[in-house]
Amino acid sequence: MPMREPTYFVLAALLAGPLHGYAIIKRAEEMSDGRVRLATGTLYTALDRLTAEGYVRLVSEEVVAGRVRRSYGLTDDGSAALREEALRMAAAARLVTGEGREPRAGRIGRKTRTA
Amino acid sequence: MDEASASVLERRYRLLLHVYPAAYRAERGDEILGTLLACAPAGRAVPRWRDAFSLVLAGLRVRALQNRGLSMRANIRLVLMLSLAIVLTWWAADRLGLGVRIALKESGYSPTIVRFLGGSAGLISFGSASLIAIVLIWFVPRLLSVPILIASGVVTLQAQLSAGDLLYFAILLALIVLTAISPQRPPRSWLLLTAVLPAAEFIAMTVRGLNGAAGAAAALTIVGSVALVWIGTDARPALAVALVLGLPGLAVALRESGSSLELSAAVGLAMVAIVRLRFAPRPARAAGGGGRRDDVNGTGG
Repeated sequence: MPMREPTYFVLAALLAGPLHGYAIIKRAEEMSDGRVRLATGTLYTALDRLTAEGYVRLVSEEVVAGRVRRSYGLTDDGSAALREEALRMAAAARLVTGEGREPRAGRIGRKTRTA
Repeated sequence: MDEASASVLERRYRLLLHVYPAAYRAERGDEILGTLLACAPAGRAVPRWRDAFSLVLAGLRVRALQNRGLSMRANIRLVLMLSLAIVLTWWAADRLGLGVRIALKESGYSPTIVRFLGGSAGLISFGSASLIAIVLIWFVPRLLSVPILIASGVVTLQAQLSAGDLLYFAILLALIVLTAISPQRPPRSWLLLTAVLPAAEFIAMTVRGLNGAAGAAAALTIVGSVALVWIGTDARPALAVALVLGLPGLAVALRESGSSLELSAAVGLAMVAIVRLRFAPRPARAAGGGGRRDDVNGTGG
């Protein structure tokens, strides 16, 4: 089953390392050029589900301004699932754009001319 | 100014967090609140609409997943407790409302005032007599509430003794037994449902001035709609309502060898609830959340 977009971007946001809730929202927004703006409720629904599935785990807890702040990180399973999804989407994209296929002589030639 | 609006916003977000069950809120509330406040633009005092909406969806989803940890037997006990509590509340409200109406009629007020006061006294009555018993079951430790309930049952038994009272007493007794043997308490939000039935009847009969049969049908419609909406998050309360409506409905249908409105409504509710239980949301699948995009497009950025 394809991953939902919020799920995909939550996982992708954690690629570079563990983040806390607000940082995940910001990172997902950055990565998608402002397109994916996770609402807080959506984020925690996704985090709960991904934790239950073993894709994400609680990495650390700290108290900031009197409130608990938890950081979440990708598990090995999470990285694998994210990668699989990325490959699936890339394959689907290639069907339309035709780019990134096995290199062919003509195409490469044209590219080098425009570059 | 900024400090003030931040604290107002915090209070409002805290209020909103009540869509989550209490246990979840105790564990995660602060963390979620921190994220909500970090996301809010400076100087804002009113929660953003989409934040509020997503919180409600997320909270309902957590509530829907609550019963997953319980055994079938525990869930059935909870359903029974709720249905008995509903009957008890309804009954108490009905009877006390009627009692006040009769008392007022004898003292010579106009019929409209009699009807209005009678209905509202019914509402007040379930806030006092029966609701006390029900609230005990919900909030007070078993060790305390069971003796108190037994005592109140004995008092009820001594006060009046008609066939109807015996049934009332039996329901109270069944509720006591269930409370004694069940380690789980029904969720507090279910208390609302015990109030809905008498309240619906009160609205239908008093405000709209309907007579008994039409009032009951209108109350049934309201309660059925509430229960249907409730199925969206949890099938158990809907099953309890189906029981409350279905058993008397079944009795009527058997006695008069025809079908009754209550029975049809109950069977319908029960079927939807059972389907809902069978296909309860699983942790692997997100529930709700319209407008999500699953489509695969190659745009990316």
